[in-house]
Amino acid sequence: MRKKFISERLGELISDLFGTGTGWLTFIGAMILIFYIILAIFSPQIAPYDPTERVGRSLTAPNEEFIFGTDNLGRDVLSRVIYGARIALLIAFIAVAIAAGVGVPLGLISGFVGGPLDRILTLVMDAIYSFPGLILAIAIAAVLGPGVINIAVSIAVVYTPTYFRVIRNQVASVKNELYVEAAKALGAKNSEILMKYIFPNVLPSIVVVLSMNLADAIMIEAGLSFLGLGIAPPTPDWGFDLSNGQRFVLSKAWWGLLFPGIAIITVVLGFSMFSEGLNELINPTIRERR
Amino acid sequence: MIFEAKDLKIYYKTKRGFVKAVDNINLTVEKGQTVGLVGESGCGKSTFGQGILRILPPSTFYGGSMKIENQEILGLPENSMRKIRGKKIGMIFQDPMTSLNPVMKIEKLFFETLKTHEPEITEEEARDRTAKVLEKVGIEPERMREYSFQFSGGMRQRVMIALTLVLNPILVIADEPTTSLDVIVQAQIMSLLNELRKEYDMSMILITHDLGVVAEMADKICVMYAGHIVEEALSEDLYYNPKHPYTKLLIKSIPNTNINDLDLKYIPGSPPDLLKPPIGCRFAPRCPYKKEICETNEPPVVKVDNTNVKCWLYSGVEQ
Repeated sequence: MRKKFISERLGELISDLFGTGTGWLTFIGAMILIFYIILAIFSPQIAPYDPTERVGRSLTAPNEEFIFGTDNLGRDVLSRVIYGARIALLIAFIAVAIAAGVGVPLGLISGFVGGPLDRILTLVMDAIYSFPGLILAIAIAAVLGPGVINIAVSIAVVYTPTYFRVIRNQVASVKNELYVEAAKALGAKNSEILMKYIFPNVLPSIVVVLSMNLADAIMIEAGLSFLGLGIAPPTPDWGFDLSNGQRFVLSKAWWGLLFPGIAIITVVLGFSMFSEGLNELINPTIRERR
Repeated sequence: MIFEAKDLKIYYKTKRGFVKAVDNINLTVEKGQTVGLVGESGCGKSTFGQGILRILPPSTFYGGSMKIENQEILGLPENSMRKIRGKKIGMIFQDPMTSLNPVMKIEKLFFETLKTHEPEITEEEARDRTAKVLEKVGIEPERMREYSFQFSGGMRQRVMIALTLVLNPILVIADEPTTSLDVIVQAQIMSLLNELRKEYDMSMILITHDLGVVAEMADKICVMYAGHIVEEALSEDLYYNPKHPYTKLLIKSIPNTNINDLDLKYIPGSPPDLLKPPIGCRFAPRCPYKKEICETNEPPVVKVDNTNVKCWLYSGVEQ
């Protein structure tokens, strides 16, 4: 049994609360995701102000001019939250792409070839797996330094074993299927067997992992920048704004903390609902469980 | 002669030693001949079938010699072996429910298979040939756009047969092709196989545990017991005049519908552990005609009438 994603547990909880409304779950999740993706793509058009410029007085409470208020440097919180979606989604997608791009091929080869190679790869992956995710990401990010790609890499390292394990175990069982043997008996090359007979049959198992992984990547990214290991400061980033806003809560400036926090929560919730719904749609046995 | 196995040994490597699944087997298949290979579960008949194509686990040990059209198969490098698989020797598997890739449409399955052996083939050409061969096995060519799970078990076995035939092999190994099908479909598939074998002028090795099926189809029958071929005879000779005690008991154990004789007969005991097979005759522990020599010396193969039999009972006949 693989370690569950935080967002996966969240998704299960929501789906338990809502009962059989799987369709709605997927729909609402998808809506939230589309909303944030649009926000990220069209942030220059949507955001009212430049997120890195001083546009008003420091720590203005939300009003008609600044709906979400301004932070300690007089920057518009709303614009920063909108632009923040860019960084969050960008890093999440790059991280997941790297994790899947490394984990899936390694899992395929490891499961198919077997033997000592398989044992070594599994050992390495299990070693990575045994670290708590955020702590490992902190360590790697601290070594690599800030930057979009570096953050994405440190998140990817945490999740590569998940893809590796799921794929490796699937391949190990699919490769004993009779149709693989039949393909061998018809003279297919090993590479053909792997790409045309095994890969398409194990692919569905990572679809759900992919979407849940995105949500967790966003959380880790926020965690890293909250701790000051993320993107360099002027760039709008939810995690960084969260830690920045937190400093002024005692001066009753709650808006700097609340809005980036809500953004993180809703986007993770959206991914969780979407992936749990997807999971149940793809895998009917989960639906029967209830 | 299409196929010849000489002193063929196929041993599985395990932690406790070698499992001698196939031990010193001699078998020849002539052009157009159907050879039946009969035996109970675990006697090594499927190992032999897959061993011919060398698709057993890589750690398997092969010994002796195996020739297809006078070309030695053992020791052939993997990439030359691939050209023999499918193209020269085709194989039909036991369970049609799982022997077709579920994520490929039938036409794609045929195209990929053809492309492996004829890299320059076009999709249209492949489709033409697929349509022809599907028609031969009794499936409407239009159905090639469907997935394998949209077919019933019998239909899938027809597809599997077509997939084997499309490459026009000279030898087909049918490994219990009807075991998982119901009796009526069984008969259809068997007669289809027989017709197509004649039409395509192929030879066939039919592996089964059903003596009735094999007697009807095969020209020659080999009875396997614990990795050895204990008796080799023409179908009629074997059926009406079995020589080896094992064959005799096997034929007696075929269920019949005689109302006065409803007891199910069986052979007491179980096959030996192939990790440490008996030193003498491997059937000796279960044999009702056992002599002293049977437990100490391996019996020679002797020719009695037209039958080759590996048993001490007949060795006196020649001397």
